[in-house]
Amino acid sequence: MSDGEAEEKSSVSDLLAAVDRGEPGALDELVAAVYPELKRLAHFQLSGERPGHTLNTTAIVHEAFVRLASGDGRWNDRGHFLRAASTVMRHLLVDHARKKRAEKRGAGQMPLTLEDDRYATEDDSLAVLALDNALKDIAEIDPRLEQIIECRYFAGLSVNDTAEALGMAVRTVERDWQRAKAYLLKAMDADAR
Amino acid sequence: MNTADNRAVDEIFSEALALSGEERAHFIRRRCAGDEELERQLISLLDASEASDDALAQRFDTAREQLWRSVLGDEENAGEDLSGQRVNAWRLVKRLARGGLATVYLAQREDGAFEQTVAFKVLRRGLDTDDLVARFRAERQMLSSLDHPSIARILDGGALEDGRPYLVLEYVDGLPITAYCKANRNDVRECMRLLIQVLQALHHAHKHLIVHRDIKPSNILVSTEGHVSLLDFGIAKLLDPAALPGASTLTRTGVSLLTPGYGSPEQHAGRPVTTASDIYQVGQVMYELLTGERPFDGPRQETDTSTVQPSRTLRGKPLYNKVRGDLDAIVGKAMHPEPARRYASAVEMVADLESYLEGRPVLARPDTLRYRLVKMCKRRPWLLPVLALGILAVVSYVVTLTLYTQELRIEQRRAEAAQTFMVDLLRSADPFVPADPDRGRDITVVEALDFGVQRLETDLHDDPELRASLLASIASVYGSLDQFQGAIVLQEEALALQRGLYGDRSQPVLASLAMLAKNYRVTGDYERAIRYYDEQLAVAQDLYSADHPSVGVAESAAADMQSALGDREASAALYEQGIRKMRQAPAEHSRILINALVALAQLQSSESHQDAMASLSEAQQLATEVDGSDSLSMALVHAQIATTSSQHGDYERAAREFQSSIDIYESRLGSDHGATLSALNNLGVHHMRTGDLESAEQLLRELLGRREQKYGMEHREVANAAQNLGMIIGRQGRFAEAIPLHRTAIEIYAATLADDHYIKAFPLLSIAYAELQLDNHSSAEGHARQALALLESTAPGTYPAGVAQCLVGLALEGQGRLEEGRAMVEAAHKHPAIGATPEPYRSACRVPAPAP
Repeated sequence: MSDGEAEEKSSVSDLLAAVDRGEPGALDELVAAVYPELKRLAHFQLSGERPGHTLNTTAIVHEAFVRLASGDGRWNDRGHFLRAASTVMRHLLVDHARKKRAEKRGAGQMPLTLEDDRYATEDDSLAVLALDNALKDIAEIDPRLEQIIECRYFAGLSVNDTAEALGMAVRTVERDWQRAKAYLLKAMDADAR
Repeated sequence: MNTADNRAVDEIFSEALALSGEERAHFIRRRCAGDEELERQLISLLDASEASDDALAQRFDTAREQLWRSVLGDEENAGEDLSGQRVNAWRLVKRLARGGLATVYLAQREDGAFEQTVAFKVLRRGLDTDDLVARFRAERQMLSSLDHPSIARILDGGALEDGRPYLVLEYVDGLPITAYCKANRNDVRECMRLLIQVLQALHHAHKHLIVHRDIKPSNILVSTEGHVSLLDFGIAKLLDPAALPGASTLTRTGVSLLTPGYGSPEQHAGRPVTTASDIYQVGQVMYELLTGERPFDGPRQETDTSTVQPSRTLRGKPLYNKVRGDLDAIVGKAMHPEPARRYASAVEMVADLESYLEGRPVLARPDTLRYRLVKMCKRRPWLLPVLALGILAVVSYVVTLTLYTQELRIEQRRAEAAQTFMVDLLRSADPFVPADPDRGRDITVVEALDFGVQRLETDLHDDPELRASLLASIASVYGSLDQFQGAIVLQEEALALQRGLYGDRSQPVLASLAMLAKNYRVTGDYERAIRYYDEQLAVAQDLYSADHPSVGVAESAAADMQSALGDREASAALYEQGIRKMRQAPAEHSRILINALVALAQLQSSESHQDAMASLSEAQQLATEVDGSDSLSMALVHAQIATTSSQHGDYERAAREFQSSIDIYESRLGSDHGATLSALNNLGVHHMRTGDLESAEQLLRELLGRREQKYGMEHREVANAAQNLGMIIGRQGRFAEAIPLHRTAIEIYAATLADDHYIKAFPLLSIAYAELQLDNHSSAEGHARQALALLESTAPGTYPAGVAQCLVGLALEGQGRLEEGRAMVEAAHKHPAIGATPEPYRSACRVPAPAP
């Protein structure tokens, strides 16, 4: 069994590396591994709706880790998991936002069922897509900045968690976050014009 | 700038970030070495790096959360399907719909009891938190407290094995109202009729203090037969949580569950939700029915004070002219951003839609006038019924109807003229403040109207259309205030104008004819009344198909006339015909239909108690559903149930029902309105019949006082009250006290009735009888002879004629002329109708008791 564990461990970091390299299928595999638990927790959180209630993605990510780590042992590196969860969340939301945009353009003026429209607005989709685009430009300058923003904005991680996820010193993340923020603000500014 | 440049800049930027103050400034100057563009870039990046990231973070937090919700929603849509499974007695056949909270299946009963197709609604998986389970239970309880044909009934409920609750509801096979109307070629009138059904269902819920909160096209289904069902009370809220045990946890505003774009502004602002929020949502559905679009893309803000006007999106389309005006006004009022300025109730909106359908003025009207009126009413609540009946109608009629008749410039000028006219009228030194506080109240309202009429005499001659509508409206106010002569004069002028403007066969003419016919009938000018009734019926038959409810309205009006003429058979037949036709659209013609049913019941009462009560219970049900249990229609129904009960010996019920009618009239019309007074009189007469003379006397004294105050001393109603009071006092043996009252009646009749009117004989008979009892025989003879002469010429062969003859005989006997007297009495006994003589005359005249 201990051999199996070791192998699983390496496969998570391999998978993350493969995602970073942009290997085909790697992201899908990561999503399949992480998404169900994230979704279940998000669902759980949202079902207890209260007015003004917000979705706490950080809590979801941490809770998901606790659950997965106590499972098959594949996820015993918290940093890896945080990183994976951030990537999956970005992928999920961007993908969804694109779909929404496409539906909006393709569909006639009559919404089929209004429930489809229940949650996200056009603006929400646009905001996420703009962020995704800005990240791609920022990655050209320094891929680490993209990862930091991904962790912080898509998963809602704190600076400390982000440091853990990316295996960096907190101080470095703090300084890089300043750079990331500067580029992000500029990108969003340009986007707004 | 390319990637390499960006990286070069980033390198300097990173280094600069590690420095601070002077050091950083030096560093930048050194590295840029006069490259101003580079320096500018660096400074802007450094500035941005110091900016707070709150705004950015917040924007993404919201977007992230909303997208997550959306992702999960979509997941759900692809999720669980219980089709094919069996839950207790139910087999789930297929999934019909997925809502925010629940999934709905088509299901069939499987316990072999009987075949039944139902809607099976189960809470979505993962949502079975205590809170939502409680909400689900609340829906079940709320639905079971509702019983309305347009609200799907609840049949069963329970829990799945995993504990999730489910509801079994009547299955409604229909299309969303928008799709239905589209499929049926968008007949606006038909759609508005459907909307009336929605509002009636809603009114039922509101009466049970339940607010739906999520009214939208997909929650309003219409069957192929055109029956409407209001669905999904899933986020409904009970206004009074105390009425539903355990529901207090559901007092939240429900914002998060709203369908975006359908909530009212106050719902989106998280403010308390009231029935007004439902009215807003119905307005929104109406907008969508009319235009095919939703009025707003996103939620409407409370600060958005623009008037919603569906016709704006219809410019250049065929529907434009139909929607502009009344329908615009109705939507605008229903969707007013301030809840307090929407329709006060679902029935009020129904009334306006009906007014629209019948071509009558709608109540939705511009704010300035409305405010003026509402303010006045707040100061003087008794004005409300009067204003509701008339003045508001004038205002809105003018402002809305005239708005879409001709080209824009004329309309605007006309609307302005009308508005000025009404504002002046209402401003005229605040006409509702009585100049002399001791004077009657109605008089001051009438004065205000008189002022309006004066203005009309000089103004607005250049605009016959506006003039005609104002005349007609003011006439209807006069009519509602029992000022029939004034009403007739104005209505005649309006009719003449309308004939010229729209032709003899037109709706405005039809409305005027109906009004005139009724007013002539009420004032006793039967010759003119009959002429107008005939024309009304002919015009209705000309304008509508033979079986149209509007023809039924005219028939029922003609029946009123026949009834007044005393032709019971003709009248009953006409009522029956009219009722049959109006039943097709009961809500639309509720008042007239109720009137007809009540009148028919009155005719049936003497023949068949059962038939009469059947008509009355139909009327009562209609009145309850459409107008409410404290409506004027209901008062009418109570009064007739009382009379019918009394005729069949159920005196207790009769007294109760009379009292109910009086209560309604007093609260709605005031204590000295004609209708209130008639109701009082009826209860008094009832007490008299049942021998409760003390109560009768008390009531009639009260009545006489109120009538004197209202009409002054010279009015027939005062004479009638005096005559009846005299009789009751006489019955108690206080004849000397009774005589002056009868004398009062005689004097008033002499001044107000034609010389040969038979009514004048009654107080004469009463006096003669009283004088006989007081042994004042010669005076009795004189009065009895006067009565006899009058009756022989005007009502020969009736029992009063016999009584008069007999009283003359008795007076002669009393003066010792025994033979002469006895001969008179015997001659009276040969009188054909003498058997009908009531007490006390029967015993006095020695008329044998009728054979049992």
